[in-house]
Amino acid sequence: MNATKTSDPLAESSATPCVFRLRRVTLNGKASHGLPVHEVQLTAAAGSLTLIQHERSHRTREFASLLQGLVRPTSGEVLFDEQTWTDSDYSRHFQMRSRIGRVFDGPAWIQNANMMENVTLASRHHGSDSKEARSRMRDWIQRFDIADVSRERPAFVEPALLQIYQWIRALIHRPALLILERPMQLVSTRMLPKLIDATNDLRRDGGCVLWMTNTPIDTLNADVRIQVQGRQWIYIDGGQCDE
Amino acid sequence: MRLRSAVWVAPWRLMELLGKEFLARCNTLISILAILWATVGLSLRRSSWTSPVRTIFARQLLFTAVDAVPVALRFGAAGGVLVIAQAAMWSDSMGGDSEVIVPLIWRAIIRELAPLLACLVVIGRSGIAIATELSLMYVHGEIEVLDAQGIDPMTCLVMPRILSMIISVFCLAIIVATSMLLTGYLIGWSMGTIRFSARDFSSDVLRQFDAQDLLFFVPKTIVAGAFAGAICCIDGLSIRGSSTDVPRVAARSGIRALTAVFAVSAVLSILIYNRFLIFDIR
Repeated sequence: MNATKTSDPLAESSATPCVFRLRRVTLNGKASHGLPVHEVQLTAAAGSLTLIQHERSHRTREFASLLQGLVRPTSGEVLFDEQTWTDSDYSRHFQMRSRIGRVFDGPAWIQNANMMENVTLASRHHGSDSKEARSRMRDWIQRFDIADVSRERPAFVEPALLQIYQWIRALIHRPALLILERPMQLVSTRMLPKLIDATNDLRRDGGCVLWMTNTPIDTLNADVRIQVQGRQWIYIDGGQCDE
Repeated sequence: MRLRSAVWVAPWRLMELLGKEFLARCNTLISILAILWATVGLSLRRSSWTSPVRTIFARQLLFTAVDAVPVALRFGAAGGVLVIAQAAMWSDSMGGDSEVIVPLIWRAIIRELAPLLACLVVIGRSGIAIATELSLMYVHGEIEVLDAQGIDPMTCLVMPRILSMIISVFCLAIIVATSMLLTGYLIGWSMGTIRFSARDFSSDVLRQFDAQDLLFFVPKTIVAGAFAGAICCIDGLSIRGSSTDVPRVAARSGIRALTAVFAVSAVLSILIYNRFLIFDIR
């Protein structure tokens, strides 16, 4: 949880294993304003940060679901930890997803549960002790210096706070891949350094971060920067794919 | 010429329609059986019973069974008064006594009425609520959120709900039966319709109990509860559209679950009695 960098994850990323890989992926999704995905090639290694800057009108939910194997690509292949989502071994798919943290673009809460249950649900389901999960959640609340609304239901929590709790939910189980869909959408910019610190910590521990945003973030130390304009993916920094 | 072709085509169209309807019904039945099979499989797997799943199951059981006890008692009381008072009056007019009336009441209650009334209580209170809750969760993207976190919605949402429906119908049917017998006797006795003592009544009731009653009671409550639970979960999760479709889905689900309960009850009666109405089907 230290904010200062001890090593440069960027330098290490070339030698580290690939976390996710898109091989000539095309997605003709249902969403009319979804992020256009046409013959996309993308590889992200452990410890790396990939920044996708898209247009304001683009919605990323379907693309993020594609990375998690919840949506099937029209063509191409999506790999997580060198494993595909195409077979019917659903228990393995659920195990793979348990290693992915995600901040959704839009509301993403179980309305019938309070914030504590919501945030710790996945950790507890995948074998973490309830007490330990709760204490980790409190640590994150302190780290982000936000109000403790653990006992409230999502309907009674303001949207900006809900989004920060989405960060906590995504980070709490130290995921191998962290997908951030416009994580600063509703949050004050003064929280940005704290989120960047948290993602840097995760990267140092071997996690890979995919950050999608429609506003430029100059302070991010991204390994790969991609700009999506119209249907085109323009690679500003970093290679397109190693194959 | 046109009339002649219409005469030829109409029966084929009718047959096509009937065939489609039959296949649709078969499809529904297969879906229900598949969900029930998966529920049994998952519930027997120890790894399914994680801490959140146990919590969801306990909450559902509390809502479906424990909170429904007062309603079951009221339903049982009302049903008991009707059945016992009617039976006593008819046996009076035909000159019968407790030897005639008690077996009749006992069998009617244990084998048919109590399971049906318990199903009505569970579907009315919880089945429709389950269909509404699941369809709202689907519409608001909550199922996707669970899936994205590596939580199987079948293990976390469907399995605990179906199991709690089964257990609830079974337990509430016992409560309904007890309530029917007690209230029916008390009201009948206080109004002078029933003239034998409570001791005679209870000893006659206990004497009537045999293993064959369990053969009716257990399958009827468990199978009907399972079908009702599966139908409500399937309907809730098969919603396509927006939250304005939720009331329609919930209402349809309630009716479908009730229809299934009556159908299951009738089929089980035929199978267990081995006869259809008065005709032996051996």
